[in-house]
Amino acid sequence: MDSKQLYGIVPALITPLNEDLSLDIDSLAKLIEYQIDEGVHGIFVAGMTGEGAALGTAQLIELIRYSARFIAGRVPLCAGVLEAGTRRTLETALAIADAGADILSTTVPHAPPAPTQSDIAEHFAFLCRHIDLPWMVYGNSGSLTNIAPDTFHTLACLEGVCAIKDTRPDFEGHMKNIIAVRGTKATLLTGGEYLVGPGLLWGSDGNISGATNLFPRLFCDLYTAARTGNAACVQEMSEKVAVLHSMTSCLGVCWLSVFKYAGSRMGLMKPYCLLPSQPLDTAHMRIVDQTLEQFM
Amino acid sequence: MAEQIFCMAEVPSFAASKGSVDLQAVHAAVTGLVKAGYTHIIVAGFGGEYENLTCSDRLDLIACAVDAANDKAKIIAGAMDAGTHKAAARIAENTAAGCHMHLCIASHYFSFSNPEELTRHFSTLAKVDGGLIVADSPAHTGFFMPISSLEQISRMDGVAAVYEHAPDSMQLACLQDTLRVTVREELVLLGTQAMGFVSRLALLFPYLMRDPRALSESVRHSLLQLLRAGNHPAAAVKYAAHFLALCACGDLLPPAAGLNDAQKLVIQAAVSFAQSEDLRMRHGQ
Repeated sequence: MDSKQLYGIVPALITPLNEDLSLDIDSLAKLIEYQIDEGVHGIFVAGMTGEGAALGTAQLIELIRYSARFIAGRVPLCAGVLEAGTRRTLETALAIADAGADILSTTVPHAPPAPTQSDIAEHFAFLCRHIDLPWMVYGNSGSLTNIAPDTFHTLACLEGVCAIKDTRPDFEGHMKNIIAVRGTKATLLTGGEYLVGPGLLWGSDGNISGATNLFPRLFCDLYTAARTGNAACVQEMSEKVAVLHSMTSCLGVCWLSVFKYAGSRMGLMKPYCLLPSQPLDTAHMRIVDQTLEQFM
Repeated sequence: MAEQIFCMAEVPSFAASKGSVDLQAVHAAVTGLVKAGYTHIIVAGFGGEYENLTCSDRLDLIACAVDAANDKAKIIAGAMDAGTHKAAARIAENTAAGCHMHLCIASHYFSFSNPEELTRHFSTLAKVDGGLIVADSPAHTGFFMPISSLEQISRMDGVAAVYEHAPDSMQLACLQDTLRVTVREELVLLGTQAMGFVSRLALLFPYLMRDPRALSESVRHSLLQLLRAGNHPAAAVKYAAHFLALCACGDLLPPAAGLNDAQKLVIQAAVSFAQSEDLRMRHGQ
């Protein structure tokens, strides 16, 4: 496998933390081993699910170094660089460049005025010119500007871009983006849980989501079913994935707290989040427990 | 309770050649503002292209501004990073560089799930020395901070002011009866009453902006046209500063796109008119 190519099931890895909010290295090792044992094709650290935007540079480097050590080259390691502006993104990317990631990932500039499509293209072109590592474009639906299909095509053709993560929640938009990137050298992965099945059937190259942390085998089996054209199986598994997604989105609390609590119940990590997120209260814990029982 | 601040003058992060920050121009700008009587000066804020500054840029800006202020004005700097811990780390760095107060927002990249998280975020940050200015900026965060949260946050020890950065006055109308609210200068130029405002134009027209409420309608119109000429809050001011020979380069930090020719002409006309009024007020002192 080419370490510069990202495809298949790639968990947006949760960053396990101790109670003092230092990196929980033992849980990180356990979590990564679990993902790889269950068949994932890559690992993405320090994304939104990994609290990447809130990690300081030193902690980010530590996370990447340990992740690279535990992965030991078995699958590609992609690391998020979630800063608001271009120059700051480059500053952080240069600081972490030797930490062990195979691929870096960043979003569009995240400050007003909303960047134009031309600004977005220049942002990634600037980063590609100044750093040797390949980039995954993190098309985050929470950004100020959605990346248009034409722009995705332009970015996919940049020499330094190896992958696109498209987190658009609507299938129409996602279809257009799949078409736009088709034929380029970049892979396109669906972000989030809902569109993983339909996206794969329609031609995406993989998926990056947080729920994969908990049940990577489910997502890997879904990927295999899609690749063999087994639509009925994809539908059945997609409905299970949707249950997991609902668990994180309907409780009125931070989805990170839900993932971490669920991970702690599965013995994978402790439930601590960076501020301002807090662990779940008892009532929410009960709801998560009930959902997990359906899968365990 | 913290002191009453009427006008906080904001200084842009002037660009030098090769995309670094022109500290000499920043130093001169702060010196000029202090000489004109401004007591609170913001660097590395919204109009200072905070999001596109490197960490060393930011700290250099603060040190430069502190030196220029020479204890005659307080320096306020942005600490607007995502997440509580990262923002707290920025505050600590800024304080070590000499900063007196800190401008913070509910961080971008996070969608706060409930008001408790908002309150928790700012109550943690408010424990710093000097004081926080809490900005409500829907353009950055994607949401308006609930009024109840703003009221609660404004009462925290350590919060000096709430800066309502929304572009319209709807949120402000709900707030101003209950809070000491600082607003964007566009709202003051449009006649909105406020306890304080942040001014990007004070750098260009220090005498005009001492009391924008006293300005004639034609001057206000001209200043509003200037502020609206560029998409980025810093674009028009930087170009205007360059037009007034206050800096060598009027561009935004790379790789941001510059103004088009039509926008530049609007700014030149507005600056010429406002400058004559500013000079008139200066000589009338």
